Amino acid sequence: MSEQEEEKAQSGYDPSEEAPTHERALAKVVHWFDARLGLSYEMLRPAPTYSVNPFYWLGALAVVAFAIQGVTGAIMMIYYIPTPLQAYSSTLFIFKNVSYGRFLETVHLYTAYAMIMLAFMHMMRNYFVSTNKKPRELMWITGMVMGFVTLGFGFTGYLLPWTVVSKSATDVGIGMMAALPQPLSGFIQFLIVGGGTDSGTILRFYDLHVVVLPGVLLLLLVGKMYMLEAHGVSEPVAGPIPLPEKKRRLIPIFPDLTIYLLELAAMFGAAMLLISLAFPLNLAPEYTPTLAAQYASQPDWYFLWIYQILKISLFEGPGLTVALGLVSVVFVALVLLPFLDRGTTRRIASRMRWVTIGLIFVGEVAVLTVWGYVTPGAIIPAEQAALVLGATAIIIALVSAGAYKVIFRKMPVGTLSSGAQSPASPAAPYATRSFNTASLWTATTFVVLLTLGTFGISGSINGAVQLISQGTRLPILQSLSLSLAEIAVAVAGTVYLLYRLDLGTGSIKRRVKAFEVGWKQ
Amino acid sequence: MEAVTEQTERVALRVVGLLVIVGFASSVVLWTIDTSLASGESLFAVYLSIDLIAFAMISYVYRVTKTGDSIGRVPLLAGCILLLLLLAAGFAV
Repeated sequence: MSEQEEEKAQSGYDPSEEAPTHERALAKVVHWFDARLGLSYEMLRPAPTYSVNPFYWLGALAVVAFAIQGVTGAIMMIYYIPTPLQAYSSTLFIFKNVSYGRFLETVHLYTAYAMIMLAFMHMMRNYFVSTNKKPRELMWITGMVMGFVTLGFGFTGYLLPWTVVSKSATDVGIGMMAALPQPLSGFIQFLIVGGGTDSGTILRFYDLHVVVLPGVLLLLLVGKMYMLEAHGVSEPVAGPIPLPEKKRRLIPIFPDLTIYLLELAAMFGAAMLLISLAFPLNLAPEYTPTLAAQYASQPDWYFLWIYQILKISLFEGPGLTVALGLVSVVFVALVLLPFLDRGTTRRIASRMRWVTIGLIFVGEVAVLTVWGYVTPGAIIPAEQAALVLGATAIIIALVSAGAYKVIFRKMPVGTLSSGAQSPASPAAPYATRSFNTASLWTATTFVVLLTLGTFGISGSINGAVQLISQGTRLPILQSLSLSLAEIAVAVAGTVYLLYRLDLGTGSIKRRVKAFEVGWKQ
Repeated sequence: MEAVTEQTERVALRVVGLLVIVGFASSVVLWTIDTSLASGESLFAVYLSIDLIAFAMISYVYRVTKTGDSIGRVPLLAGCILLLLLLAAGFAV
């Protein structure tokens, strides 16, 4: 059955039926949403055996962490008072006077950390195995919004103990938001800061943390669970060899899969308890403006990578808006990923470009986080930043190219739309030829172009910032033009190389004769 | 190979019996902890972990036996060692 016939059978919608134009247009819209939201699909269907794998349930574990936080948070709410004068003393009261109070706070904090880490792992796992493709685009976008809500939990919850560390870090975050362009900045300021007084801020943060964000997350969770039920878990993308029948066998949601999820939840709970016992939380001193002046403001670890970007000397002063714009572009690109990565294949072997971009993203986030942790409060010179971040990107790109060369050289390539479930076409060209063609010189040229691009990007940002701060001057314009030319050369060269690489793998869709000079089959 | 699998299954079913006892005993300990003592916090964490791990292992054996798959010796052994260590830690606290 073809994909279209399958969709038609599920939704009962036939675009070829005779109907007035406006009705057909409406039916098309309804059909698009139904195919993605599964409003007319059968629920609680059995799940395949291959889904009995922790990597399929990282999101479920994040939900377990959320549930633990709900329970521990509800107990703390009995004692906590959200005012600047009593926030710290009530937190201290929980620490010292409430039975297991310190343990409760530690578990609450570590499950929050685990939730953020699991959400990130869930996102990256889905990115690498490309589960965001049709019909799961809306699931991906919902998941991304849930990820932002999770970060919102971290941001709002961090202020509540009113320690010198948490208050200073939150002030930095609020200050960053003020640099956003209007009306976004005004809206966020109104939403989280209100009148700008400490009592107003802490009350709003508390309200967001215990009422608004949990409500939003629960609503999104219901939607995502519904879509998961409608589409089922995604098929594995291990390789061209079809999965054995044993792995494809269906098991009932209850009790088999439910028991498996309870196993995971129990092990996760035990791990959280033991980690909390081994590394109990220590409460920092109470916030006072005098004490805050002695501390280097630093956000919690999950925001460190963004903070480290903002600490680059290039982005000081008016450049802050540019830096926030760059970070926003990354987030928007992640949200819109299903519409950017339009390829039909989900196989990692055939998605070198996207896999490498994903690896570079993870690498840069890790490097920036560690770097931020070891350089609290220090301004990072732009050249140093370009060197470190550029080198990270280059090394990861090299490693990725090498890994593809070694791992996938004997594997058949092609455009499998449904991962390992579809057997590879016997006529599929073999990647051996492609990697002979796209050999070492290709990787080296790619790296050179990447370096050129990195310098071009950093130079352009520098030029743009100088233009904003110093006005239009000839040397600045010359430097900016040179950097833009570097980017143009790097982009054009990369596109050309990637085309040649795709030519080698046989996965090219639209042939451009001008790009194939000297190419031999 | 078949004999090894059968042997593992027989051992696993006996282990489940022990795990039920361990889980029940840890639940009893959890009810008797004096919450006013500082050591109660550690006891609570250790015995609740024991309870959770025992539950996860019992569920694992039940699920795998039900679906007709072979029981993995490594997870079973690792779980038992972890439980023994935690029980020892529970006595030490």
